[in-house]
Amino acid sequence: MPSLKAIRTRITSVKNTRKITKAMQLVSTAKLKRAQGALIAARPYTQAITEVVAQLSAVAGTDSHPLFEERTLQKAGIVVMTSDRGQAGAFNANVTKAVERYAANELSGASEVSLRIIGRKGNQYFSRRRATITSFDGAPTGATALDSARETANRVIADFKAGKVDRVFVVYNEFKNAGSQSVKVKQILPVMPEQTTAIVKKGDEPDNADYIYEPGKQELLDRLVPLYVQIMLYRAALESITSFFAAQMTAMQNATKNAGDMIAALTLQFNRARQASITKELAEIVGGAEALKG
Amino acid sequence: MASASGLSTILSVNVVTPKGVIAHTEADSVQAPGELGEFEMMPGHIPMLTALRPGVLTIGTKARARYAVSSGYLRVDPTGAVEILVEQALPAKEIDAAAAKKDLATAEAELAKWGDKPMDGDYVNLQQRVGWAHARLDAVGAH
Repeated sequence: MPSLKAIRTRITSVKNTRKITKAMQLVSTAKLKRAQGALIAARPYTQAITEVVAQLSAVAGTDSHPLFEERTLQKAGIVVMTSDRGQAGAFNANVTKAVERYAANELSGASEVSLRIIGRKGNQYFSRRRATITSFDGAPTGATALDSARETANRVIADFKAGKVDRVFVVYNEFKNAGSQSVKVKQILPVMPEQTTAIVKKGDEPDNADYIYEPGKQELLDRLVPLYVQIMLYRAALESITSFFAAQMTAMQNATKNAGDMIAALTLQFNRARQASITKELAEIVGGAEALKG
Repeated sequence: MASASGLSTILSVNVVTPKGVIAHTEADSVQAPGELGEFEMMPGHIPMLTALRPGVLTIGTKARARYAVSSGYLRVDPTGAVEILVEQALPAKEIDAAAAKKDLATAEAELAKWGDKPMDGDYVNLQQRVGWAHARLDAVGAH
């Protein structure tokens, strides 16, 4: 049985840990709210660019633009969105597992699968497994997510145009609510026309033929399809950031609870040990007195 | 279509970026950096969709609001409402000219030593950084 002092030290240490996990829980809760705000703020832009790309592809025809071109799948590219730090439960493991599963099943026909990794955790995992990593960047924050999405979008678009990849996917954690996140695999290239036209049919788009297009429909698609790809990656990054804080919040909540349970158990052990030592001392005193009576 | 909005003397302007709607206002004119050159738009314009390049966006003639914008589009819908969608936009008074100059210098230096490397996505990234830095400097008149 550990000494009283040892138990007391352990209780103090677990109490300190609990303070830390509790603080981290509060921090993630605050950051989660901010990240959710960014997701909501991106909605009008996403909707507008989706509509315009749909409008353009409807009037110009989807076979007219290189980024709509459907090719036989030989080389696949995956943008993997993970985080730089852990302490968020299975957040990163879920993504890396999903990437491996997707590559082994849906992409089994591809001769090559290359990864563009965002987030240190994903990089650690896949470099150990010697996967083909084309690029690695640190996980973005809410403030840098847009720049990061732009750079990644330009890179995958250049890869796609140069024929280095035939299809590009993004794998990320999608935020459902604070308690649940799920991994999602989304195709970003070639841009799927049915995705965009479906949205336009729902809305009450006016007759598109009345528009003047400057410089021309083709040139407009050249400028705007990359923005569409970028916003898809931006939204995936924001979903990932939001999910990270939600996962971290849950993980820290559990850690705080576990620390509380452990403190209770240790306190019980401490009290028992103290009582045992008191009993022992009393027994010794009584024993000594009995012996003196003789 | 022009007749439907022929009576309107004011433009309803909406500036949208991925970070949110940054301006939702009414104005008598809009000056925008079009792909084919700078243009000014008046109320009652017919429906149009035009690409924007990085540059300076000015809303209104009397009360002028200046923004540095990156690429995007300007759309006039059949009701005459103007939707300006740009990937980045910054009000002129929030621009840090020194930071923009520094960005410009680093991006141009990297472009200069690009040499024979393939002009891939990273090359495009640098070009866009240069464009965005120029737009910010133009907006504050620090060129």
